[in-house]
Amino acid sequence: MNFFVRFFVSFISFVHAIQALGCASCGSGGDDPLILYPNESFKYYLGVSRAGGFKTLDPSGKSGIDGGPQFKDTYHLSVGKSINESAFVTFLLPYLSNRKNGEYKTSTGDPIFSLRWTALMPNIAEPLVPQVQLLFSYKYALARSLYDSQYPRNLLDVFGNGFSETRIGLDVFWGMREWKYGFAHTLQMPTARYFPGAHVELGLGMRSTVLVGFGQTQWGKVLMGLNREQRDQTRTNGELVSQSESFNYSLFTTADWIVAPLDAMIRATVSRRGLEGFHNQNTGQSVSVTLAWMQALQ
Amino acid sequence: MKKFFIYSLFVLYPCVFVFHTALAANSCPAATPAQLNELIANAKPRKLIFFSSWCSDCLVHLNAPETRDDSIVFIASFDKPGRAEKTLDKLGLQVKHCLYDNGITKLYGIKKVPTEVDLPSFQNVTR
Repeated sequence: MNFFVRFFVSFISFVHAIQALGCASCGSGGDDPLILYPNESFKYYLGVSRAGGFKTLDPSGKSGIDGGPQFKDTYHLSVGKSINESAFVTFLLPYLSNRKNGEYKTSTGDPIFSLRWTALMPNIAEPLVPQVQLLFSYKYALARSLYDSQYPRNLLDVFGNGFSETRIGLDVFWGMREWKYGFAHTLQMPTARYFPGAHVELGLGMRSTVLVGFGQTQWGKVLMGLNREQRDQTRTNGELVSQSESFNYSLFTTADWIVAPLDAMIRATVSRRGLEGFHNQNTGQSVSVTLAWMQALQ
Repeated sequence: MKKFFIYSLFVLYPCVFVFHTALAANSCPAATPAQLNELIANAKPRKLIFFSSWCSDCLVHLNAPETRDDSIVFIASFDKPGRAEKTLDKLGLQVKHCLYDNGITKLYGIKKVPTEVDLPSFQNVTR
């Protein structure tokens, strides 16, 4: 029973963060891959990613049983609308496909609504003053989770972690010069849920990101960053589940190419979750590759 | 000596600062397309440069020797009011013609910064 609970918690954490979105503004603290610059008032993002090589890591960090899919393909549609020069909202809707041994299931993922407000604008006269953005987002648990799975044999119908979540964060980025760097912190506050026989509360989560990169506005930029994700212990029926806290370190590299005539950008991201050499616990290892196209229409 | 130090601290330095600021003070008043056309008709500028205080590439355009040319009109776009003046001041640039966009970019389809527009072609566009 104890083993089942731990596996369950591992898998929840694993599914929760299976998609390592590289970087945003970049900026990094959001799950929103779409960032609007002050001159853009409407923009869309289309992305496709494939994640594979899944391994579940137990509380001691050792590889555990992985009964889930071999590959997870995700199609992202995101649209963003500016409110003014300093703020914009985005809406992200993922569509997922889980594959294993020729079988597959598809579903809409958890939609995310985000708001970014630039509290401190960068300035060409003061390149050492960073851009400071405040983030707010809400993820609605729409997709089927492990709790509702009808395929416990291969979990092909599990597309989310089953918990809605509110996130607030801070994103600090020095991007005025060719060498760019920044950091971000996001606090993740899940909503508790009642399931048959259990009231489950996921612990608070915290994601921290540091990144460095090089870029020129004419062609784009290349960034490399490290994410650290932590989630406190889960409570079931008010009781803390022992050893249920999770840690995950991931490394990502993102390359952006500007397609100037179309006001568009192509983005490629490679991400490795459950990075070797770091303390990963109750989480998963995976590699994902994402290709995306984003374009400002107004 | 002590008196001189206090005097310079509270009187001389602020005076130097105010004098320097006054020398560098730029003004970018909000301008509609009609007001821009009026400026074009009167001052006969040869180029428009659309820029923003947050646009790193704009620095190249602002620092170019030709920006000392009085025949260029700078238009602060996609920015908050007042930031362009402060940025130009901090960069130590004094430009003769600076406007704050009030519908110019929208009307003429300027979507990004920096954008340079040679005036004859711009006038063609407006027609």
